[in-house]
Amino acid sequence: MPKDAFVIEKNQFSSWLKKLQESFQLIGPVEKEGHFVFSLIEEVNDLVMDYDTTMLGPRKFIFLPEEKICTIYQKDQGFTIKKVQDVPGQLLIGVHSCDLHAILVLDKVFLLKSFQDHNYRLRRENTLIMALNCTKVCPTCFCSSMGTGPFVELDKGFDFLLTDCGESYLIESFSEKAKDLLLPLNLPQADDSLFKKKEQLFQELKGRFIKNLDTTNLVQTLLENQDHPVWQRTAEERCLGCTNCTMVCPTCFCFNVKDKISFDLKECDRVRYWDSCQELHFAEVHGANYRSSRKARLRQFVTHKLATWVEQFGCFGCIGCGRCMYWCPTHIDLTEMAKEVQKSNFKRMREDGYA
Amino acid sequence: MVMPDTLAFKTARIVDIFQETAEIRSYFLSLEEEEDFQFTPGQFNMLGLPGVEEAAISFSSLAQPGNNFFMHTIACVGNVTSLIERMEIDGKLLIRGPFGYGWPTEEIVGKDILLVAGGVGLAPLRPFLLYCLEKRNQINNLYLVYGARTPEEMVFQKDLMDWQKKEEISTIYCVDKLPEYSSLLPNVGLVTHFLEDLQIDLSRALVCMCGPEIMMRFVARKLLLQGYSEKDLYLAMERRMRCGTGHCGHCQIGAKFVCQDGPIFQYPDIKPFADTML
Repeated sequence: MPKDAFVIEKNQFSSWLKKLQESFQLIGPVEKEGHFVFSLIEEVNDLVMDYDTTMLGPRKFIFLPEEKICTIYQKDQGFTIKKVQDVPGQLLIGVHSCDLHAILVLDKVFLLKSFQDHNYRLRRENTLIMALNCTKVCPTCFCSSMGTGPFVELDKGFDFLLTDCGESYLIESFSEKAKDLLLPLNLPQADDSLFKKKEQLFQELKGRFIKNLDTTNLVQTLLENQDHPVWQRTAEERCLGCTNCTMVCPTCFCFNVKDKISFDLKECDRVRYWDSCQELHFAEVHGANYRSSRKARLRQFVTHKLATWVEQFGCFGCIGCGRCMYWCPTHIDLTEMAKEVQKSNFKRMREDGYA
Repeated sequence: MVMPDTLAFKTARIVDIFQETAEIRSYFLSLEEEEDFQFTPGQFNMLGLPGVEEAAISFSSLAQPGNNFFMHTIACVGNVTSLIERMEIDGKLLIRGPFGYGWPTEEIVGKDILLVAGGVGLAPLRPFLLYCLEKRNQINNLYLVYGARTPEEMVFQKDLMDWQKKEEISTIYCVDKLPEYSSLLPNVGLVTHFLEDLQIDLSRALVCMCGPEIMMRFVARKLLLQGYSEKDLYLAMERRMRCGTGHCGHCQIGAKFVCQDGPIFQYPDIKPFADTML
């Protein structure tokens, strides 16, 4: 049993959040037009903590859909650069395990390779994460297959962890900042029975998953089958090239850069915005487009998330949230494509003389 | 350890401009704030100007210890490069770099080195060639096979003539079409036609190529048929890049980020992935 585990009544939780609102921007799940979205919380009562999944993951508050990288001032004698310096402190509330893993994946992309992304680091350092153990299984989600949920089994990279225990939350702290924020509340320590209940909830939930993906040898199988007919067929029959999958994916990190110049031409905002490998011009250079077919772009999405990501960052790029297939206009399902490749491994069949 | 920031901009001043071909120019640049600027052959800079973002351009000169000069050879075909084309001496560029892994400079000792370039692809190879000439006593044979559409489209004409005369390097220049007069006296044909009959011992071969991907495809295949080993082939890949630091995702080829894992790749590292012409 962790030392820093307490019980907080839901009423007290709400009033505590109202207090935190004085020092943080609160971000959490709210209902919007029949779906849930992560949004800036003005009224704490708007929070919907028993949501199933949100349209976009919380990445949009750390790696913004569009953000200024820097301002370049042009003078006679050269350039002056002003980087983005001030970002608000924010608290992400109710982040499910899959989305928490997605943020940790983005950390690997932007912070843990050879260069640290300036803007991402700034926002990440000013973000506290209050994770929430998920209680709902969606028809499209498969976090249990990807090892990213439904309960948070990590011990760092976030600040709080909530488990819904009916009238109250079990709240555990995983960072110094979190401890300091909980201290003034004088909460009662959580006892063994709560942890037993948590474990029980976890076991119950694990058995309810509808969608599964067997990840054994998945990387190798996909890489050996880059010419598998499933890519061509799915792309031709169903992919509209709309880029929805990459927009809603909580681990997609690609961006494009655009300069916005002031009318007097002296000031230039360098802005970046989410880009998508599903977009026709994504891999275009002078005289060539290396992914000009939808087949190539669809294969790039699936094999990146489920195969090449592992070599790049040591983890899958898919955290099993199911958003890509839910928001796809034709509900293209990457697990189905992966399964088809697993079922008819053409490389192997060719080697055995069958295809 | 403090990791380098993605926004380490530097200002570079255009010191001199050479017209190489109708649409290719070499820009001799020096850094404004830094006295010493070191980079390895094959690395690149992100060259930018406010208003047109940035483009990835390889160094076409060899770094000299203790100074801050460098050269980029640019085909003026895109947003950034077309704007650079209109700049004059003393104009200022905003650069970030150097980025990426370059040519295998550590591998050259005792080798028979074959450099194959096509068109403006000679630019990223030039610093490596100069490096090989500097270390000429450490290597065995040194070849350059360079192809372009016409002699007028060959870059570094002065260098080409120098190298043609040098004993240290054997050169084969070739063009698709030969005009009546050309001082370089190139052969007619594709680079792939001139890869046989070279004095290269396959057990100590090192091949570095840069050019259109379709050229590298056939050069690599031809050499493999001739018995070269895959690991001895190095290629320079070109992809769209928006950041140079492995974040924007544009330059990915399978699991490789061309900006950080490349732009120079050993053939077996890049061959398994889709969406290349190799």
